Amino acid sequence: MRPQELAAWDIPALRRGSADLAHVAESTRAWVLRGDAIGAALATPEAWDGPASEAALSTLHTWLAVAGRLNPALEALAAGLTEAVTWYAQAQEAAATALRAAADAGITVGTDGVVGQPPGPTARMDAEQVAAAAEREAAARAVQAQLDEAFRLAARGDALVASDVGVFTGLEIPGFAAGSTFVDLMAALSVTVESAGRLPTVPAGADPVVVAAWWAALSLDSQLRLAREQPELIGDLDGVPAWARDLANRVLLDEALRELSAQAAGQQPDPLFTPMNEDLYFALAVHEALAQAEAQGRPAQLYLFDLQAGLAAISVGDLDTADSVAVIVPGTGVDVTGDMSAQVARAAEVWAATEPLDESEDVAVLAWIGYDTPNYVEAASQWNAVAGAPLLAATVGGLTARPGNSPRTTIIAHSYGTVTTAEAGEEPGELGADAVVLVGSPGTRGTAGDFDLPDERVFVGEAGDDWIADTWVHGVDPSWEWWYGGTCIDADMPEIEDSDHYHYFDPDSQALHNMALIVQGRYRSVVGCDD
Amino acid sequence: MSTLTFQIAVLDAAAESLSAVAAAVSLAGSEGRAAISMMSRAVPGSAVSTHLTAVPIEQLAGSVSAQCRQIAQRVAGGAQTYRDMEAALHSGMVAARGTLPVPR
Repeated sequence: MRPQELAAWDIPALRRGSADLAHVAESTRAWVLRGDAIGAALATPEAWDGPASEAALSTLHTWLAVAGRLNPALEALAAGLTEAVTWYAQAQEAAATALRAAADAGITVGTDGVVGQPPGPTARMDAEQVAAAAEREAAARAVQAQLDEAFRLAARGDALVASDVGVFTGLEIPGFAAGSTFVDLMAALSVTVESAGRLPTVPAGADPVVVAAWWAALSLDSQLRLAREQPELIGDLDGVPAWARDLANRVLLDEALRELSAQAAGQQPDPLFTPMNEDLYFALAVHEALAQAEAQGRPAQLYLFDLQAGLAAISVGDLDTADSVAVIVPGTGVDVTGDMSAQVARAAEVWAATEPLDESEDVAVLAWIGYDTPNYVEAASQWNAVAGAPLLAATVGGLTARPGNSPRTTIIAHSYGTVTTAEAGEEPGELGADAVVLVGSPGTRGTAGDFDLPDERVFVGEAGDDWIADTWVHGVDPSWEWWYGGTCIDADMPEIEDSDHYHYFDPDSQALHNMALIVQGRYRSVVGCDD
Repeated sequence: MSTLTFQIAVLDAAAESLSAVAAAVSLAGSEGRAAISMMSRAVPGSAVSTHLTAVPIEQLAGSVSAQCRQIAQRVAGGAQTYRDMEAALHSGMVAARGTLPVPR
């Protein structure tokens, strides 16, 4: 640290900040007291009785345990800071005084805090000059001593702060980053919940709204136990919040990696044939793609991990809290082992394109390989689309079943994914999406009206060089025939060389920009085909 | 005051209080972040600017607040259940009054 920097410290601002933080720490005690009082009122049998009451009270007690542990850590931090401020104030005062004295005496002070030594007395000097030189030397020594003292005082303040932050380090709270859940915080604070008793029966196959209501009525300990002890039931259950599905699917992924790696290690290498462990490659691909999603600096959730069916889905962004959620439906030849990372990259591009539009709006994009996409032979049939449609509809249903505040939901379908999405539009009941985007479609059945959305919410587009979109294999080309309906968006990509069927998600493309606008509900800002 | 009315009142009050706590926690998180930011700018080069900024106070508060809000929603759900029961009882009594002779 430079002495000039130290001397310029704004101690009044530091005091204000410290006082504000002390106020925050103090308020945590009030939360706990108030929570205790509410818990006591609710625990009165005359007020509320039965399983719903027990579940709510159990969750409240867990919350109180977390808040109760945060309180002393925050108070220790605030107290330490208050003390550190006094050291910092003395350090700043000492440094400022030293620099003023140095300036008055014409002494230079380096940025490293070392005082320049003035020339000492020499034989040629007269008595007066000798005295003056000695005085300058003494002044330089005094300035150096005062600066050393300033640094020593600052170091004492630093040590206190480092130690107080260490309280949090001990709790591993710095690892608690943006997007971490309450469950992560519980783990960081070592708060555990009762884990005895029979687990509730999982309503597998029920409507996502029913599942969401069932889940919301469970206590937190039941929710955690279900996710950890029955991950195969919770990981793909539409209507369960994404945080719990993520927790369950990570348990499944870890188990798969552990078991499959051990199996692979135990295999005898065949000199003629090396068996490919497809399941292991599948799990490794998901693991890699998940790390890639996490590297975006946003929460990443493993929303689906089905080894047997070969399906997986990973979000960029928190699906539980996002204001807007988009689901990318892929097309022909997309599988988890070969393409999960590429799909996550597309999700990241859509997410990144939304950010400059409105930072205040939280967006999550789901890279969904949630149906068996066709290979290039199967792509001529609609079988995969028909089979995948209910899965897509259930996924959207699960994402919008969030109690309290459903997100704005957009389906972004590419290529054969548009066929699957069109089929999902014909599923019984409403699809539940707020908008649908179809790009590079090789033709679909029906019309935009099948989505039960206004034409202004069904967007169709294709690039000029996208010959696959001109094959009309599965029906009408949505972006060609006027009677299909919907809103034609500019998805041409003159700015991209060799633009074709595979470049709709390229950064800076008009198609991607339009998708971002649609995801955020800015439908009128979309650049249309005729604009 | 009937038992149901009393229960609804207790649960409504609890839900409201929990919502208020959730809002207070969220606000405290913002205040904490602002305080740390102010201190970090005030003493550049010190441990305040190098270490303290690593404390994710706003994220912590956000998580605690969100959980508290969820509990408030549960309690509000309980109040609504009792409210529905009360309405059902009331309509049942009205219907009975119209069809049955009033006992004397």
